[in-house]
Amino acid sequence: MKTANELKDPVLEDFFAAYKRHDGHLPIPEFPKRHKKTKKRVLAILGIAASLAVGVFYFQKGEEEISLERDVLVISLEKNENQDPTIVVTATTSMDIWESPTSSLLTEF
Amino acid sequence: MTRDQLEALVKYLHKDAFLWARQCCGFDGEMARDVLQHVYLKILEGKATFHQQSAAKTWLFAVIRYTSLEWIRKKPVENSLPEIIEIEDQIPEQEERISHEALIQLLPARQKEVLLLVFYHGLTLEKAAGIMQVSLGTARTHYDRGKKNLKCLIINQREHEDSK
Repeated sequence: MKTANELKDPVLEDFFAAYKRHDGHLPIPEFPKRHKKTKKRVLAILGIAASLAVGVFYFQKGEEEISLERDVLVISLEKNENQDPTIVVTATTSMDIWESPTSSLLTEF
Repeated sequence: MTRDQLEALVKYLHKDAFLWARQCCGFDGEMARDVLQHVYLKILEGKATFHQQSAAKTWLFAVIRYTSLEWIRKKPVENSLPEIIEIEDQIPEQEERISHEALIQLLPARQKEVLLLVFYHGLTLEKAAGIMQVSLGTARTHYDRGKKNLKCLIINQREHEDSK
């Protein structure tokens, strides 16, 4: 491929050589510095992770439920239709409020 | 090519890039600075990607040429009065430099571009054609006409100076 060196033309070569010499005095602006965002990015990621961890910890604590590990048998003493005391046994997996039917005996007597 | 490698490459070509940007912007240094800033932004944001199909310099020069054309097209036309030029204060070196640029500016745009790329930046005609986005044949035509025209201008100027 033809280049300026191969296609010798003294008039043009002298002209461009002089032009380049003069351009050598031209002030060249500095190459713009890129602000590295890595540190800021890492800090931002760490901040988000920490906030999420705190949030998860907080909400998990608030919604904590006490679940029964095994079925519970509730044995209660109730009166049947003939007014005779009978023992009633019921099984349950969860209890919201359970009050012993005989708890009144502790308070009233 | 990683972002850091690309940045190092562009940094290495920075001086040539600025000179080419200046030539594309009608020898306006301030505009060249803005154009070059925009070019670097395009590169770092991935809007202009280097596929390594051509030499890095060819690719960068093509981006600069395209961006400066875009910039000139978008630039609003200024109707302000031209600044007063203090001819007496100019030093001879500046006058000579202005005459080089003034002579090149007299050429049609394509002829100017191809001559600058070949003679000033030392690129091949093929690479110049790639930067100018024209076929090799078209580039050669502009090159031959440009050489002829510039030579005439130089000789005329010399004759004019000798006659003084």
